Amino acid sequence: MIAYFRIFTLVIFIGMLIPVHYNAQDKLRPRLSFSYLKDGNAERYLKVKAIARIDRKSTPITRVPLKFYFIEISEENFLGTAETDMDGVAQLLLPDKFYDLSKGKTEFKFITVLEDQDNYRDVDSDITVYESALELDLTEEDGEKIVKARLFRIDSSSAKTPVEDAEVKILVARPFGPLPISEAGEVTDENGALSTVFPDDLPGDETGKVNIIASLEDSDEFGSVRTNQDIIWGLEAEFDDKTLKRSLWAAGANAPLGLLFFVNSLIIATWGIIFYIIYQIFLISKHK
Amino acid sequence: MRSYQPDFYFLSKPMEKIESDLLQHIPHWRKRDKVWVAFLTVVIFIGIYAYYRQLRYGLVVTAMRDFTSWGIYISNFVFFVAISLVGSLVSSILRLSKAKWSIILSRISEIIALASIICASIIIIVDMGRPDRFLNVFIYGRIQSPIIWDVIIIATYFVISYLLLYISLIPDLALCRDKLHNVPKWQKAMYRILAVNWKGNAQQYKIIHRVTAILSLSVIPVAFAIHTVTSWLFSTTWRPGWDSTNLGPYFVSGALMAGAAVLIVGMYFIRNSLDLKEYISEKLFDNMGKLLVLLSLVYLYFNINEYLGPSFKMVGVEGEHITELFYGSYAWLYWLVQIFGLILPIVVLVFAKMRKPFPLLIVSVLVIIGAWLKRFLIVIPSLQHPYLPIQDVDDSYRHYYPTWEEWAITFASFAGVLLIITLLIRLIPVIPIWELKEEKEQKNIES
Repeated sequence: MIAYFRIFTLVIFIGMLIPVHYNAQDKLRPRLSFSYLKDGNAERYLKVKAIARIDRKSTPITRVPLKFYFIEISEENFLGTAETDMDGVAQLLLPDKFYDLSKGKTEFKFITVLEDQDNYRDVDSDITVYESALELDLTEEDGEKIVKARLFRIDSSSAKTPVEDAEVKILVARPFGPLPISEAGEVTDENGALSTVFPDDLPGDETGKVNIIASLEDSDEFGSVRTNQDIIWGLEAEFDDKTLKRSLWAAGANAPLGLLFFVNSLIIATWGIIFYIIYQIFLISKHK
Repeated sequence: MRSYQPDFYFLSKPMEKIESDLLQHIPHWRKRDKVWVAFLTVVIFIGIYAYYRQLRYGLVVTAMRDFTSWGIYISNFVFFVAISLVGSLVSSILRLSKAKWSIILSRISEIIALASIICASIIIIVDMGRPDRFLNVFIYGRIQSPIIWDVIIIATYFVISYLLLYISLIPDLALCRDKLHNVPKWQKAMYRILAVNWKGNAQQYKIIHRVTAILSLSVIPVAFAIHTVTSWLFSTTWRPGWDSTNLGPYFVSGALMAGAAVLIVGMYFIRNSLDLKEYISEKLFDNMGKLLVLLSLVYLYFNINEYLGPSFKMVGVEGEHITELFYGSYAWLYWLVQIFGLILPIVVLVFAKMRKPFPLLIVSVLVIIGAWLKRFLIVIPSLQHPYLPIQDVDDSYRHYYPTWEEWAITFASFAGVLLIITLLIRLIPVIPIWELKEEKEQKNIES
């Protein structure tokens, strides 16, 4: 019995000495939130936010490369690589190769892959979206400025099918973020349309120009789609020309004359003395 | 028998002996000199590696965040600018007040001033997130900005500090050129070029005296301006602890005190390592000790002015800032600085025995440490109490613990100052020989 006890103790002791490796188990499993953005009809992006649970908190995974593919993971369908930033977000502007690969297609499947890292397991995620068109129609009827946004699904023959019940927002670009002018929660009708009246009291730039935006955000079917258009519908803004007058807070070219005179006089006087002294050193070398 | 002041007993020696004493260290690099230079070089290279990491990954490698956007780089910059004022203190203020003993210390102080202002200029570029855009400061700078005033005044003071050292060095460089034969060729060529054909004739001496007088006068406003403008970087920014009309003289008086302490440390080590005990006499230490007491008293006066008003009113964020300094997380540092870096020197140095070289060295080291930490206390706690609260921020924004990269760069800047000082004192006489010669001739005429 004592012999068994000794062997058991020895096994436990040796077991404590053996370093325990949990290579695979130690690694964190990141979570990827994948989204697709279509800006106007020009640029499209893929955006991924990578997070992991560290100390029971969702923590962004920074500085890791993510690979992006179209339809399937293969060399031919590779779209590019993007690295996550300090917020764990990686963004890829879809390259020309995507447009070549997607010719004639209206259903797009994108795959993103985070390959095996020192601290993270390999993980992938995919998203499937359909080709869409979001159009803005700006008209004036009975003295009212009407903004109409229309959302269509595009099929393989390029035919447009109106999308009903989509939560499209109409906004106006402002310096610190767009201002919504349509009702919150409003959805498109059977024609795929949603309209609102542009307010009369919204300032534009000095010519009255405003930028109107239609936006569909995080739709399961189409991703995020956005389009915008400029129009002279706003009030003409009167700019405060305080910054153009000579003052302490103006641009460098509009510094107060008194300050310019004072500072430059000091610089000229001091550097005048410096150059005089340098000239005197030159004179020392000339005396034989 | 001529009678010399206690500071100038060595003038009773023949001039040839004085010259030989003051030039003897130049051709001989001892092993310990080489080890010291190698050590400083290693520290600098570690700092360069840390700076490479900062350039590669950005300022994110530092602990500076949205609250504390100025860290130890800026406190170090303010410290070096402060130290650089020692050149004008000795070579100008003491010289103009006819304190003849300052002649012996003028070159050491000018060397310290030049080394400090060089490293202050470098450290401010290190603090920039995009140093490649440094020239834009000159191209697009706004003359209304105190930062531009600081750039202008630092550049000006840098040139004046160099001229102050160089002008008074010309006759001694000529002496090196003529008397030092066992130095390397490049060193001989350097003496020949920098001595600008000095022959020691009457016209050349006349120019030197005129130029030295002009420089001595013009360096004072520039020296006061450099540290006043540095203080304006703070006082024109609306932050608790900086919103003070007292900040200019507070900075200048603190700078003169710190500069005097650095000079005493420099005197001590130069005196021992170059075997100049006769020249840098105990009387000089006594004089510098008294001067340090005077400067500490002036600084104490401005300290009281700086803290009494806000601590009496304890208004809003300003009150929070004062509470943090007096009783909060910075209290131990604050009282350490005030007691050991300011009060103790005043009390201790009143006694003549404490103005002997070694005790004075210890007190001066305390003053220097206190001066560096004081700049830290001026910069960091104020930034952590912004008037506009920044909400829902990461916890790291609320504290500031410098990263190893910041410490490595800071230590490298100290090593840089020490390396410049070491190289200069190994290449040139540390006491102006030609001025001693004039002093000796003057005494001969008087007698």
